[in-house]
Amino acid sequence: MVSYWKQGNANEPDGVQTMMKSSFILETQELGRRLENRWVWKDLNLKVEAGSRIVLKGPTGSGKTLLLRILAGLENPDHGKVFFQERDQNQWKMPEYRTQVALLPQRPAFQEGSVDQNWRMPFDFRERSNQHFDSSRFKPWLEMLELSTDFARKQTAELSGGERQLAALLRMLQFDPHLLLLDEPASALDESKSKKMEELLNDWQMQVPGRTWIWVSHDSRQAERVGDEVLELGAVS
Amino acid sequence: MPLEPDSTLISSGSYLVLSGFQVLLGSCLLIFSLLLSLLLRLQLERSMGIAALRMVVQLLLVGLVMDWIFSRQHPWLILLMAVVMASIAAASASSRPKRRYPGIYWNCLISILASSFLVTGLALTGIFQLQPWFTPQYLIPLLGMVLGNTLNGISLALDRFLDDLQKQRDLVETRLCLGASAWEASHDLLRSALRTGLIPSINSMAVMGVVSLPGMMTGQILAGVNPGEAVRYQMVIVFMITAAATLGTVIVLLLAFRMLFSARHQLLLNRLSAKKD
Repeated sequence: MVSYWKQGNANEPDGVQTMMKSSFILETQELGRRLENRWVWKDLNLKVEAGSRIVLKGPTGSGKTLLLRILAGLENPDHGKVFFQERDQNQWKMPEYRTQVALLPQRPAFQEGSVDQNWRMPFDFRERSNQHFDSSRFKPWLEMLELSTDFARKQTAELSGGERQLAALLRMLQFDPHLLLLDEPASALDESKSKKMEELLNDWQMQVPGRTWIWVSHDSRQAERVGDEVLELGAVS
Repeated sequence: MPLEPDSTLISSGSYLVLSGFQVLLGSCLLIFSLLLSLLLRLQLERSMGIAALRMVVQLLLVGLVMDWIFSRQHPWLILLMAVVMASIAAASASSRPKRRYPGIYWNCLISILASSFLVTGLALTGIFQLQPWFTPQYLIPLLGMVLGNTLNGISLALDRFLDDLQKQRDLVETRLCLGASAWEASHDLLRSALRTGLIPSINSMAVMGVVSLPGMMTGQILAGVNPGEAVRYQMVIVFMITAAATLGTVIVLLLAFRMLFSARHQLLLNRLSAKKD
């Protein structure tokens, strides 16, 4: 079962059909995924407008992470298709696709070395060979998150769970992806840091029209703050 | 300078032929191991006995087969034996890693065949300059030594690569999410697996003659060959072994990489399973 509605108007479960007035950055057609012998979810017809802020909810095991992984092209669906910018995901070159549809995993990983080295790491990839690291972008973000400038020099092995999440978020955000897929990005943060991170993301999103996110959150108050629309995945019978 | 094939192995002819009784006498040395196992309650007597029995039967059989093949000198027969040896080496190489994936045996077989046959073939025709090139007295033992070492390198490297992929899955996928290609996301894992596969060959090369006296050289000396000549053989063998191990390890890692990443730059960890003991 999949429900969809706009925040503040919870009685409109068919909201997905009412959104067809403008361009969609992401669309899924009859998307389905099986695990062993059951469908985790199926017939998922999602249309995401550019600039949307969607919260993805659902009980444990409802396949939220799986959906994000499929949208990011890390796994394939068992049925249906994903379209990004009206182009079938299968027709995209995946490294290029993932520079625009960026998944921030729940357990972000780092190479050995400092935070700064890890922020620079993606510039070694061929897909980003024409981009250049700009340390000045991080300064206001670190200020907003009340992190010292020494943060960049910290060894990643010494970071706490919350610091890892923030470091990974900034690493991804520097590339300004069109669609952010956030898998519980604040799960290891205390409430005050979590709110600061939300503010930072809000600011980032407002800067350029069309920036979009799908945000998995278990915290209902956070879900209200960061989502204009809610997509809820339920157990499939 | 090419070695003269007819001037070595049995040239001196001054070696001691062992009788069946002497071999039986030799087996008595195993009593020390059995007694120690009993005294220390290692409970290894049974497996030691079975292993010793297997060794005796296998060697007797291989002796018979080799006698037969040597007497025929037929290229297809020799090639068949070489392929059988490579297939057994591939089975051994693919069974050693703690994790496996569908097609691991074929990947090992392809890499072993390609590397060992190429290197042994080049050595037989280019260095040893044998006429005919398939002279089994040279081909079979040389290939055997190359296979043994290649399979070691291959299995060590595969074990490391598969283990690292599982353990560093998050890092590999984080890189993919940041726009890396499958190659970029995993090349450091491939590199360290290659190092793991090759380090034993390099180490053994470094201590050869100082810490260890290689088996083939010892064998030749026992067979009456003058040590200076045996050493020259040994050097060529070590070069062959190292070349084949490097080539085989690179090939098997590339094949494993192709099996565990899709063309869409996805890590296919669901293909990986733990070995059933």
